Amino acid sequence: MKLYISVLLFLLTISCHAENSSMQCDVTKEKLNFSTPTADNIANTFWQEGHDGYEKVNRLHILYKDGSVAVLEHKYCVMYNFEVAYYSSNALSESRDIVELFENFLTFSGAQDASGKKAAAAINKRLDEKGFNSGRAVATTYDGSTSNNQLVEYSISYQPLEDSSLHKSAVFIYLGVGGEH
Amino acid sequence: MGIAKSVGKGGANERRDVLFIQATLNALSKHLKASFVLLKEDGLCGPKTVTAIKDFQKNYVGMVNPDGRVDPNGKTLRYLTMYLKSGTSATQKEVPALIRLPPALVSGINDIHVSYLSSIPEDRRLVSSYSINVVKIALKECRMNHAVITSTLRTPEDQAKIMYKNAKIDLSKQKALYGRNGDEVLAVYEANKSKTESEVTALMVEKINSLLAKDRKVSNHCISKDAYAKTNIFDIGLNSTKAKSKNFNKEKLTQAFNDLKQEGYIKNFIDETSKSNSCWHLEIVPHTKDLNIYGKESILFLNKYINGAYV
Repeated sequence: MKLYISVLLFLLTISCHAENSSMQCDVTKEKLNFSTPTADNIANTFWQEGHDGYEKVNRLHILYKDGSVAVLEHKYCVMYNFEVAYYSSNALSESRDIVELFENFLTFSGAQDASGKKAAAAINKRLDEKGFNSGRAVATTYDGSTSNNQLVEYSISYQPLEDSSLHKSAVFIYLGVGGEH
Repeated sequence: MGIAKSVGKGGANERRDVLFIQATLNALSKHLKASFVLLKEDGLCGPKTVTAIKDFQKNYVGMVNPDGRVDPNGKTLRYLTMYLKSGTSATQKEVPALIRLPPALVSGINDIHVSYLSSIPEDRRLVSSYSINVVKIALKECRMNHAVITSTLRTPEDQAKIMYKNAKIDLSKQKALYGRNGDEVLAVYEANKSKTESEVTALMVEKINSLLAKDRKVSNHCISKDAYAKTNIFDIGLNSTKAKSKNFNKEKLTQAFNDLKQEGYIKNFIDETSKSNSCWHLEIVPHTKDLNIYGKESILFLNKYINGAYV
């Protein structure tokens, strides 16, 4: 009898631990739409898969013919994170270039939403207000809600890379949908 | 207060009910300086009464195709009686006396309450009367009478304490719940978790403030008091509202908030009623639109005295 109770308690402990250490992921790969860009200026692309805690990570590396590099990361579980790091072999000359990059990379996010257009317009306006200068770092954010009433956050930052001979500027883009507000 | 049977085109038109509608329309016509003509209060529903009902429906209820009929418990009756004192059984003769002068004219939403959860301290009860009225409009549309605010402004210290407590339970879960900014604060926790709680939270506060300086928010609630005055950010709790409100209807209230967002009265609306938060998250910029112009084209209508009385 004692043995039976001990085994039962042991199984219960394992079961409770398993429940605590798991997480219901509402956002799955099947619900997202990943695409690989194809363009004449792209030399090579490849995907990586991995995990970060409970979150799944799908990372796309893009190598451009002019030496520019982009990494597009989709990270998801209870929320969806899309992050882009783009290292350009050229310096960007005006804020419109940044907004174009923002709009272009957003088309490869796994969660398209009408709020993207609002974000692009707001970011364009804010960059203009800040007075874009290619030799100076600049960043701005936009947050709102998606058409199906989820939290959404966009951000973009630009940095000139004066100490690198390979790349002249870096642009970082982030899109987060859902999550803690 | 109201009618027993329908009045107007195709209605039962019982004398007592017709008298009530005629008297109410006449009284409103004076107080609102409305365009509909004064009616003879005879209890007979003729073309003039039907026309007056249609005018009211078109201009004050926002109906695109007014049907000229007032039904018991119908939308037209709700908007007609919005201007009357509540809880009164009115006869035709009493109606004009029941209509109050501004600012108490908005009895329609005076009977609707928006309260704070008792645990919210006084110094965080910062939601403006404008935002409260926007919530009241949504409640009015759903025929609900109470909503409970469960969260308002959070200081960086509040935010750090919440994140510290939750990270201690399950850091990976918190990392999955937060976006990039939250993850950076959680990284501070992870790198310093061997230190004392006060040391770690102080470092987390420092990180939250440094992100805020770059216009990066860890939580929409965690902003400065000045920023909060410009945009009221608060949650309406689902369970606490359900416990307090008559005619509670989650779907209708969600739809009403969504409509108000489409109309431009709510800047951001996040529906988290199906998530662990169990709330409607609202972000409202006070005075972004005059409440008194709300209506003719909208399914939601608010009378013009709200501005004068409350905002």
